[in-house]
Amino acid sequence: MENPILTVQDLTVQIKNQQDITILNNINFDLQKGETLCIVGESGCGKSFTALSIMGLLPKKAKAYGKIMFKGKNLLQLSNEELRDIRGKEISMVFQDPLTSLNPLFSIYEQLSEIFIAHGFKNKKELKTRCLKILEDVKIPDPKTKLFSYPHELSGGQRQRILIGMAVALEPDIIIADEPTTALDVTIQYEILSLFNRLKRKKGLSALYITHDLSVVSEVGDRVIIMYAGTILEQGPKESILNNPYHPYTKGLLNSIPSLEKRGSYLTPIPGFVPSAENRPKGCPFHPRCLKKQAICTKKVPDKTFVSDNHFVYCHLVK
Amino acid sequence: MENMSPPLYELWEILKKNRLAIAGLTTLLIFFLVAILGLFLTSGKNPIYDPAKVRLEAKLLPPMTVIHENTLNTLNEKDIPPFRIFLFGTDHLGRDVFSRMLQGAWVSLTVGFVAVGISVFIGIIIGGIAGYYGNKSISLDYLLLFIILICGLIIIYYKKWLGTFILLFFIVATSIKKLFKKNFFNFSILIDSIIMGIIDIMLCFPSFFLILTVVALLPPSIYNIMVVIGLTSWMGTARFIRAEFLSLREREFVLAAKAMGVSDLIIIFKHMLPNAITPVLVSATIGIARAILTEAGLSFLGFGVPPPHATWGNILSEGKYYLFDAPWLTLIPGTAILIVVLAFNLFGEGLRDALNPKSRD
Amino acid sequence: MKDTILELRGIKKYFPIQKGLLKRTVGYIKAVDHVDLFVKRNQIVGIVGESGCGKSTLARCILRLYEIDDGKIFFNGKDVTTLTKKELKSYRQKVQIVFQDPYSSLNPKLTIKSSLMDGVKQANVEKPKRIEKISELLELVGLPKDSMHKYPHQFSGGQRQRICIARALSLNPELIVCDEPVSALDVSVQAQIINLLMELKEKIGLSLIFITHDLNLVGYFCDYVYVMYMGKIVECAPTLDIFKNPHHPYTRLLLDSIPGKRKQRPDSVFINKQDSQLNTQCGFAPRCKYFSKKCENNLDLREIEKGHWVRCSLI
Repeated sequence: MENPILTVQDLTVQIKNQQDITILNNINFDLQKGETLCIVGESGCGKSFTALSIMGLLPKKAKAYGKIMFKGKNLLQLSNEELRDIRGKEISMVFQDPLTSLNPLFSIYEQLSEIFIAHGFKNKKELKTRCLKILEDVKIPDPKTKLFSYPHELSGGQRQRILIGMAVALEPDIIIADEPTTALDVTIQYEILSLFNRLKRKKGLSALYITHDLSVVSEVGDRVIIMYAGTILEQGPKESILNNPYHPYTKGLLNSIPSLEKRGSYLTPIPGFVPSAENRPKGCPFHPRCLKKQAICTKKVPDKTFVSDNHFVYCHLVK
Repeated sequence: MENMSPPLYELWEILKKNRLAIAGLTTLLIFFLVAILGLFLTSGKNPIYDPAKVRLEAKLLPPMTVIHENTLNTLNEKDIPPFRIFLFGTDHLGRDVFSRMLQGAWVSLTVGFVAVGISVFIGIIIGGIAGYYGNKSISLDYLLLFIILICGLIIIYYKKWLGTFILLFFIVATSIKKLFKKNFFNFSILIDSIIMGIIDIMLCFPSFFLILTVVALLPPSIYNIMVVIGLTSWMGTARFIRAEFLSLREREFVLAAKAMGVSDLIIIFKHMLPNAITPVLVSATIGIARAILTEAGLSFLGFGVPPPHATWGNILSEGKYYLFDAPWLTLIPGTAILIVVLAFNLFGEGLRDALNPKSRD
Repeated sequence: MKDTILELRGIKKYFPIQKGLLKRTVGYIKAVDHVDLFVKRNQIVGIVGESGCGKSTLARCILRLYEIDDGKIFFNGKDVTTLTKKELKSYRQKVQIVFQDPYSSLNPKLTIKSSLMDGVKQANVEKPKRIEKISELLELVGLPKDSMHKYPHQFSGGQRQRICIARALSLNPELIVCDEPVSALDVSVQAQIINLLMELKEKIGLSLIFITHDLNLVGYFCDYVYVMYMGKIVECAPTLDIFKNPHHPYTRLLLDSIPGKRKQRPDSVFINKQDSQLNTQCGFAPRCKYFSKKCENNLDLREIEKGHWVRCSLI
C-alpha cells in the first residue's frame, strides 16, 4: 500500500442552506494504482457525492473541505481551468443512465471526437480512426456504420459501452463508474462488467466503482468500502468483506439479498429506513437500525478498529 | 418527488422571496379593494361618487382641482364631489374622472374574472375529455347526430321554427338509428383528433377580430363581452389540461384507482384534476390580464360596454379627443390598465416560478 | 392439487404503430403474444424477463387496464373477458396490483387516508367503520396508525410501497399482481417488503403474480416461474426445476448472468446477423449461440417434463 494514486483525506461536504446539511462526514480512503475500489451504499449515503467531489462537479451550493490528493495536487483547490484539463484526460467518469448521458442531437462520431478536440487534438483524419478504435475497443458490432448513428438507434447496453469507451479514450489514470449497470438488464450487466474489467486491465487503470449492489462487487472489486449516511462503516478486501463482514450493517446487507439457497425461510432485513441527510442520528450513524445497539452507540461515534491488516470497521461492538 | 408541487405554506415561502411577485400581489389586493369599494360608492340611487353626473360648467378640470366657494360658484351644491375635490379632474362633460375610474375598476375586475372563469371552465371540460377519453373513437353517425343537436339548440334561440324542425329531424334520425342498430357511415374518428382539430381551428382565428364581429352582431352589454372573451380564449387551458391528463392517465396512482374499480368521474376530479390544475392557474392569472386588456381595447373602439357606464377603456377612448388639452383623461386610465395588467403578469410569473419544483434549489 | 385461481388463454396485446395525419396503422408491436398462464391458489408465480419483454403489459392486461386483443382470462373458472361494467367491478375487487415506482403510485395531493379511502369505499365498508378499516390495513403492513393523516412525500420509498400494498389489500383481494414492487428500493428495504409479501401470503392466503427481472428474488420467492422474451413465454416450470435444469438458451443466459453466483461464462453477445436474415420465428435467434437450420420449424411450447414447458426447436 505504498503508492496511492488518489488519496482522499477528511473529505467533508456540506450543502449550504438555511441550515447546513452535512452530506459527507470525514471520508478517508486511498486508491492504489491498478486496483478497483468499490464504494457500496444505499441511496442517500453520499457515494455519488464522493465521486462528484473528486471530479470537481459538486453542485454550486455544496462546499467541500479536506483534501483530495492526486499527483501531488489537491483537487479541491484547483481552479476550474486546471480541473477541466484533468477531467477526461486523467480522471474520467461513467454515469448511471446511458439514456441521458449522450446528447440525442449529435451522432456518436460528433460526441466521441468532442473529447479529443477538447483536449487539443486537431488532425481530422486521425480523429476518425481514433473514434473507430474506441468503438472496436468496446466491441460494438459493425463500428463503421454505428459511428455515424445517433444515440436512439443504439440499445442501452451499446450506449453504455460507448460511454465507457469515451471514458477510457484518453487513457486516464482513474476511471470513476457511478452505478454503470443499474439501469441495464442482467444479461447486459454481465457484458458491461466484463468489458469494464478487460479495459481496466488492458490500460492499467485504477477504478472507483460505485454501486448499491453487493453482488456486483464480487465481479469487479479488489477492495470494498461500505458507506452509510455519509460515513465509512467498513473497509477491506473484497473476499474478506463478502465472506467475513464485521459491521452489523454489512451483515444486514448481505442477509437482505434473496437467493435460491435462502428459500423457504424469512429474510433477515435491516429494520427501518435510511435517514435523510437533514436528520442523521448522533453517535454511530447506524444505531437506530442496529439490532445489537448498546448505550454507547447512541452517544459516541465509534473509532476505527482493525480486524486484520487491511480490513477495518467503525463499530463499538468490534474489539 | 420531482413532479410534486409544494404545499401551500411552502409556496408562500418561495413566493415571498420574489419581490416583483409580491409587489404584483400587493397591487392586486389594492385593486380588488378599490374595485369592491368602488362598486358600493358608485352604485345606488344617490351614489357618493356619481360617475354619470354631468357638470358642463366644470368640464376639463385638471386633477386635484379643489373647489373653493369663490371659484366655481356656479356649481350646484349637490354636484360638488365629496371632499370638494376632483381628484382625477373632470372630462369633457364635467363628469368626475375619479368616480368613473372607480366604476370602471369593478368592470375590469369582473370582466377579467368572469371571462377567465368561463374560459377555464370550458378549457378544463374540453381538455379533460380530449385527455381522458381521447383514445376512444366515435363513429361518424354519432358525430353527425351530435352536431345536428347542437345546431338545433343554437338555432332555436334565434329562429324558433327552423330550430324545431332541426330538432325534430334529430329525433327522427336517432330513432331510425336505434331501429336499425347499425352505423350508416362505416367510419370512426378519434375524439382526440376531433377536439384537437377544433382547437387548431379556433387558434387560427385572429381572436380580437372574431370578438369584434360577434360583439357587432350582439346587443352591446358587459355580459356579452365577458362571455365572448371567455368563449374565444379557452384553447390554451384546454391544451394544458389535455397534456397533463395524457401524462397523468398513465401514472400509477391513476391506474391503481382504475384497477380498484373507482368510477371515471372520481378519478378525474379527485386524482387527476388537482394534479393538473397548477399550470392552468398560472395561465389563468395571466389570462385575466389579457381579458382586461381585450375589454379595454373593445371599449376603446366603441364596441364595449355601452356609454353611460364607465370602463377604463371608454374613458380612454373619450379622452383621446382632448389628448393635448386634457392629457389626464388618457393618462390616468392608461396608467391604471398598465399597472393592473403588469401586476397580474408579475404575480402570474412569480406563481409559475414558485410552483415549478426545479426553481426550488 | 390446488385449484387454479387465474387462467390466461392465448392473451394477445398488440400496440398499433400509427403514422401520418389520419393515424393509419402501419404495423404492430407484439407486446404480449399468445400467453398462457396459470396461477394456483396461495401460490407465488414469477414472471421474469428483461425490460421491454412485455411483462408489465401482461400485468395490465390481467387487471384489464388494457383491453386485450385476443384470448380469454378465467378467474375462479369464470370468463372475465366479456364482463359488463358492473361485473368488472367485482372482478377488480378480487385482483389488485402493486406498481414498481412507489413515488408515482400515490397521489401526491391526497393524504394517505383519502388514498386508501377509495379502496375501502369500493369494498362496501360501512361509513363508520371505514377509518377503523384503514388503520387495520396500515397496521397489517407495519405502519403506525397516525400515518394516515400524512402526505406521500413524508414517507420513504419502502414505506410508500407498504402503503401501496395496503391500498391493494383494502379490497380484500384474492390475487395481487406485483409489477417489480421492490426494484426501485434499497437492498435493505427490499427484504422488508418481500418478507411482508410472504407474511401476507401465509396470513391471508393470497396468491401472487410476481413480475421481476431479478432472478435471485425469483429463486428465493416463487413457486412457479414463467420466462418471457419478446412477448412470448419461452419457458415455464416450477422454480427449482428451472434453476437446476434450464432448457431454453435464454433462460440459461439469464441464470448465468446472476452476479456473484456464476458457474460459467454466459454465452450471449450478439453473434448472429440482422433479424431479417434469420429464417425463423424465434425472437431469441439473433442472440442465440445454438442457432441452426433446425430453428426454422416447430416453435410451440412443448412439455418436456411434467410441468416444465419450453419453446425451442432444438430441444
